[in-house]
Order: sequence, then C-alpha cells, then structure tokens
Amino acid sequence: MLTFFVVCLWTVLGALLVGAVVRLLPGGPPARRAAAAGGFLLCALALYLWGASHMFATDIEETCTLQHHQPLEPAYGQTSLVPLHRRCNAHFDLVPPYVNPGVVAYLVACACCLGTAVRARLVEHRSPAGGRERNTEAQ
Amino acid sequence: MDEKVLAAQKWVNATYGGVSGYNRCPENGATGWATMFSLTRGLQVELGITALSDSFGPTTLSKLAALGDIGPSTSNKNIIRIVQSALFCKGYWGGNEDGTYDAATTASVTQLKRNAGFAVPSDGRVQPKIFKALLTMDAYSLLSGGTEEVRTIQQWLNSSYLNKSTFFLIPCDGHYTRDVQTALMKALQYEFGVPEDQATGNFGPTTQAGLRNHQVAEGDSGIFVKLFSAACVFNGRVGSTSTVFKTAFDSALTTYVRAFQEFSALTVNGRGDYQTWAQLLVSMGDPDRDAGACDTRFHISVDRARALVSGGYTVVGRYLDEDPDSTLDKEIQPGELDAIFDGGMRVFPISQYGARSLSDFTFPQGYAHAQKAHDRAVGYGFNTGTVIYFAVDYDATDPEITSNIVPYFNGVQSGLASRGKRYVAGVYGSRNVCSRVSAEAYARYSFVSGMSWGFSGNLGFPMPENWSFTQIKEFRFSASQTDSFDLDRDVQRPHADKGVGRDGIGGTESPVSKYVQYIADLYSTAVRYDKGNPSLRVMEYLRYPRYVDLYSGWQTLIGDVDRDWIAYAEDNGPNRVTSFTDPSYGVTVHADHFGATANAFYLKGSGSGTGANRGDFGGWGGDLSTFYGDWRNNADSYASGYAFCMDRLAKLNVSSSFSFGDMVEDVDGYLVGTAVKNGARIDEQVQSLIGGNGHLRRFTNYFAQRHGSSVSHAEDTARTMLVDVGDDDVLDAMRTQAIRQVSGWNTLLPGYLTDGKLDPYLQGYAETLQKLADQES
Repeated sequence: MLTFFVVCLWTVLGALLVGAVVRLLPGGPPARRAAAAGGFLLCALALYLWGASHMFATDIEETCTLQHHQPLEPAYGQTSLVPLHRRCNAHFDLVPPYVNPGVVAYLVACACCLGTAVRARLVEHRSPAGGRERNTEAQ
Repeated sequence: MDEKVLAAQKWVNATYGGVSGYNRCPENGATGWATMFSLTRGLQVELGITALSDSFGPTTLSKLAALGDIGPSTSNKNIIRIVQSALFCKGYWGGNEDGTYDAATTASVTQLKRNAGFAVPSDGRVQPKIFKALLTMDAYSLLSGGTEEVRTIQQWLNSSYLNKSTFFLIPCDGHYTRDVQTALMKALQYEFGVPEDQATGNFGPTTQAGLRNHQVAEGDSGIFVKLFSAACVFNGRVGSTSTVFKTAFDSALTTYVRAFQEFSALTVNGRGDYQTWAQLLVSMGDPDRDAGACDTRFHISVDRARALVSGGYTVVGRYLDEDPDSTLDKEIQPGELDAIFDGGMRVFPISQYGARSLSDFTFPQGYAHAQKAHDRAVGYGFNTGTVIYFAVDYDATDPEITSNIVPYFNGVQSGLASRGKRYVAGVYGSRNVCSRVSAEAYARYSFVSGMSWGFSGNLGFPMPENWSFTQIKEFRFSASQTDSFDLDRDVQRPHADKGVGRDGIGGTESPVSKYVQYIADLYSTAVRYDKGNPSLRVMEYLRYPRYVDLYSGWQTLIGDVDRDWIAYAEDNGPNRVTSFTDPSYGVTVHADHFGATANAFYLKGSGSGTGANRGDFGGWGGDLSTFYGDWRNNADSYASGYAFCMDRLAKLNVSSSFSFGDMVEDVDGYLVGTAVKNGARIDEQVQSLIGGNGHLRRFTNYFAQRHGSSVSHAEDTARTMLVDVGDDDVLDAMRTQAIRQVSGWNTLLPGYLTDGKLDPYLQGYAETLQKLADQES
C-alpha cells in the first residue's frame, strides 16, 4: 500500500516538474511533448540510478545482517540490473520497492509523450493550414 | 583536578578532622568513594550520631528526616555545605559554599532531581533519600557507553517508586548495573502486592510465584508489560535485535523475545512466560528447565552414563587434573572416557587448580596451568582444537578481573601457545568474568556459573554472547537405588561447543587439514590451468563470487578475476571449502574474505611508510572505514571513539562490523598476499600459517611488518586511510562511499572531525593491534 502511494507520489512530482519546465520552453505542441518525453526519460534515469545506489555493498553479509537486520540466504545476494534487484533473502531487497515500478511509470509516460508528439507532428504535416503555409512560402 | 572538589575535600577534612571516628579523604581534587564517606561521616556528626560509619543507613536517614527537608530555611550551615560539596562532586554547581542555601544551590538540586526522573516542578530542596543519593558516586546524566533507553527506564523507576520505604534512588547514567536490576525486582514485588517493607529485591519464592501469575504476551498491556519490556531493554541487543520500553506488547517486542529465547536456548514462543521472565531477571533462570548437560567431580561409569542419558543429560564436564594437595580424586580416571562414550555421552574438559581465591590468579600461574592442562589433555588423547574450560570458581569483582583474572587468562593463552596452541581456551566463571575474559583475553567459549544469581559478577550483567554451557542447579543425582552422587545441571547451547565424542579422541588429523588440503588442491588445479601465477588464480577463486563485480566495489578496487579460470576450476577443481576453524582462537575464518584481502595486497602491495593504498583498503582499511560508520551510528552512546574501539573492535564475543574474525582475515590476507607478491607460493604460505605454527605469531608479525611494531605508525597510517590517501581520488571516493553506506549520506566524515575527536578513534585501533600482538608473547 505504501509502495503504491510512493509510486504515485513520484509520478505526480515528476509530471509536475516536467510540466513546469516544459511550459517555459518555446516552440509548438509537438516540440513541447518531445521535451516532456525527454524530461520523463531523465526522471526514469535518475530514479534508476537512485535505486542502483542502494545496491552498493562492500560486504553484502554485513550490510544485510548488521545494517538491515536481515539474514543473508546463500541463494541470494547477486545484483540484477533489469529489473533492479539485490536481495538478502526472499523477503528483503536492498533496492526500495518503489524504484522499479516508478522507472516503468516514467518510461511509459515518456513513451506516451513521444507517441503523442510524433502524432501531433504527423497531423501538422497533413493539415490544410500547414500545407497552405508551405505552399505560400514556396512562392 | 577540580578546584571545587578540592575545596570541598579540604573543608570537610578541616571541619571534622578532629572528631573521633572521622576518616580523612585524600585532598586531590578528584571525587571518589573516600570523599563520599567523609561527607557521610561529617553529616552523621552534625546529626548527633556518635558511632560514625561509611554507610548512610536507617539511623542517618531517620535523624535527617527529623530535621525536615534541607533548604533555605535550614539553620545548620554545615549540613548545607555538605550538600553543596556533594553537588560539586557530582558536577553540579553547588553555590557560594558559605553554608547559605542560595539560588544556585536550589537550581542545581532541581536540575539533579530532573535528571533523576522527577520532572514535576521541584521545590529545589533536599529530601532524605535525595541526600543519600547525593553522597554516592551515582551519576544522573548519560555516561559513555550507556543508552538513552536504559536511562529512560531508570528515571521512570525513580519517579514511580521512590515513595516506597524500601526503594532508594538509582543512577540514571544509561548503564544497566546491579542496583538497577535490584530496583526492577523491587518494582515487580511492589506490583505483585508484596508489602513495601518486605520487598527486598531478592528472587525468592514469592517473586517466582508472582512471575508465574503475571505472564505476558502479544496483545497485553499494562504495568507488567512495561516491567517486562524494561527487563528486555536491560538485557541489551541480541545479535542485532533490540527493543524499547513500552506499555503495550506489540509484534516488535515479540520479535525481540523470540530472538532472546533462541539465544538463551529456551522454547521459542514469543511470549513472556515464566522461563523467559526468570532468564531475563536472574542468571540461572528457571533452574528446573530442561538441561542437556552436566558436570561433576565424581567418576562416570557406563551404568552412571546410561542413567544420566535416561535423565536427559548427553554431555558431561570432567576435570583434567587434581589439585596437588587434594584427595578429592576429581580427575578423569583411566578408562573413564571409554565408559562415558560407551554409555552414550560426550564429554568436555575442565581445568581447575584451586581457583577459589584471588591469589590463585596471576599471569605466571595461568601460563603454568595451561601447560599442565595441555599435557594432561594430550595424555587423555584429546584431539587438536578441543576447547578446555579454565575455571574461575569464586565471585571475582570487576577490579579483581582487571588486576588478576584477565592477566591469568593472558598467561593461559601464552602457555597454550608455548605448546603450539593444540588446544583452545574457554572460560568458566560468572557472567562478567566470562564476558570480560572473552573480550580481553580471547576465550572462545563461556561456561557460565549461573547458579549463584546474587554474585556481583552475575546480577546486573547480560549473558555472554559466546556462552556454550550455563550451570543452573546442583543436586544429588540417583543413578540407581544404591548409587547417587552430586551433579550440576547445565544447559548446553545448540550449535556452540558440542563437546568431545569418541571421534574427538586419539585422532591425528587437525581441524584445519581439510582447509590446507583444499588450498593445495586449488593450487595444483591452477598449475594445470597454466595461465599466469597459480597463486593469483587461487586467490581469485577464493574471492569469487562475493568479492567481485561493480556493486561490491571490488571490480573498481583491483579489477576482475579471470572468468575462464573460475569456470575451469568449478569443473576441475576441488569442492569449495568456505571457512575453517582458526587453530589459535577457535573462531570461524572465512576463506573468501581472506582470499580477497590477499588478492588486494598481491596486486597493489601496501602503502609505503604511513601511506595507505588499495591493498590496504582491501583489508584493514575497508573494515576500519565501515567500522567508523558503525561508530557514527552509535555516537550517542559513544562520544569517545577510543571507548567504541575498546568495546567493539576485534572482540571475540561482540558482533560489530569489525569483528575478531575480520581482523584475523585481514592479518592473514596481508601476510600471505605480501609473501606471494615477494615470490612465495600460496599453498606453502597457508600450510605454514594455518597448518603449521605461523598463526601463533600472526599478529606480532603483522604489527612488525606493516607498522614496525609502532602504535603511532599504525595511528598515522589509519589517519591517511580515513582522511586522504593522496593521489588516488577513486580510492578516496570508495572509502567515503563505504562510510556513507553504513551511516548515511549526511555522515560526519573523518576529514571533518577535529583531531581531538578523530585521534582517540585511531588510537583505539592502533592499541588493539598492539594488544593482539602482546597477547602472543
């Protein structure tokens, strides 16, 4: 439940941040949407690196037992990059639980923005207003 | 040297020096019991008592009560000066010292009472019980090594029960001690309904009945849960689990109780049942609980052994030798070991010569006793690695443990080493004796003499972390209708010292031969692989997979291993041996950590002079960095880094991020890695260090080779490691990251501490190295 709440929080914050930045940019809707996509990609990258920083452990046994008070089971302890995981045992992961869903949420948002940006650009090319402008300029 | 304390000492001696029965205190500006006793006697003079004594007893209390509260309206100026002197001795500002109870005196008394747990607005006056507390060495502020959680409970006990006639103020210093434990017992007794004047704090039948009637479990709340949680807090951490003072029994408390029950070898049910209450409060716990072991001075025949097994006892402790002038005949008899094994039991050996008074314990005697114990054990055929328990069979006080008991065990270790450390030293004694001897003289296991719960070494101390047996009751065991003998019941801790069976006698293989053979087999595999230095290949295999890759930092530190070699060795090499039991101290040594450290020193060497490099970080440097983070996490309890090192660094029975096993791995890794770098073969090095006698001088050799046997060199090298290694920025970043990973992104890094704050930490590390080396000679 807490994880769901945190994922929503991160997504909303990211969207607000990206929206605020994008509002300041010049250019038309497709350019804005592409910029938003870029912003979400950066958010995804930042959250991914934040999650990855939790996996660093000079001595995985000490980290699990002394710092997190979790037993280190022999089958666990290895790092996984996609998705981001480093488990001490079946129940405990060094990577916070909101990271992987959050990265996915940002990537989805990025894809959506990119998709709508491409579609908007394509619509622009096909619309009469756009065609008239080009025809005018060609003259 | 405190000016105000000196002035107080001079005043009390000058005022009462001429009175018969008064004892002068030293005039040295340092407070102590002598000063307190002098002030007490001075007070008794003022109260008209003629038979002076150091004890602030009922007579003193009642005569003081007759005067009313001591305050601004008290006419006896000397009594006020005694109050003011005592305040100065406790570190409070006593006022103008002219016998006038002024605003400063009032403020200090108010402050002291607040520290002692009385938060309500205070009248700033000194009631009789407060006066009694003033004339003690008790502290009401947090002392180094104490915790706020314990302090909260101490304050609560004071404020809740001071109005009871049999309750007196306890310290609020954050330390769990005898007086604090007694206070908790009294609190329980008051709550059980025991009449005030009969509450002694003793663990007698009434208290036991009360506990049986007030068992607690998850979901309960109220005063008994509160007292139960207090007892849990007093017992301290179990592994890394601890709990807090609370009124409601929640799931967190259940988790702690389960951990405590497992540690104490009780039934793990998460409830505050009678056995758990008893184990929290007194050293023998419930003396009638299941106990799988025993010890006796009587001889065990096959029939006796069979009878003991029927009674539930599977291990028996027996003596290696008899005192020269004794007729007890307590030692193992010819053929007795066979009888014990035939009867289905195992045995553990005890060495005791006298051991009932302080004078029996000196370094030379420990040395001589250890040599005799070794010779006797060899005579019986005990295999290498057997733990021998050296006995301290009386209630040694804390100062006596410092002056005699620890030196005796230093002698024991030296004596065993002089015979090649065939056997490992354990300790038998009270809880405090066992804990301190294990921490300071590296005894491997503790056999706790828990029967005498009132011993100064038992009451107020938690169970030693490395306990293997605990003695809980003595009684007369009936082996048959015609045969009975005195027997002590002992609880044997699972997975600790299993004792010795038939396979533990008469063997020639040592416990380390399996590991030494493993290294030799790995080396031959590497030779067959025929690529690069086979010793390096062995080290790489040892450190794989835990100390490789990016996220452990080892990829960045010294690079990758030869992955093809790893695959080759997994197919063609010997089965993995992950750890071995160290011959010198009986601790478990992990081969992967050792291999990684050796690999680091092989590839990078060590820092020159007081420099520190990647090789060092791969060993002691990395451990010292994470241990620094550990200290910052505990900075509330340990303002002094030196005290933190003394309590937690390389201690056999304390779990920390720089354990005794880590130290052995670091030291062995340096010795072997450096030797291999200079052209030696790793299999020969391990054979000589672990299979041969090298381990007897490992710390001495390390201290000499790395630091020229100089404490200041070790300190300076540690400083370089923690603050700035110089040109290697990546290494500086790794060290910082290692610290931050333990204590958080906003940690105060070593480079930002003042010298006054950092130096004691470095000194604690360097002195620990020296002590370990000294221990070997």
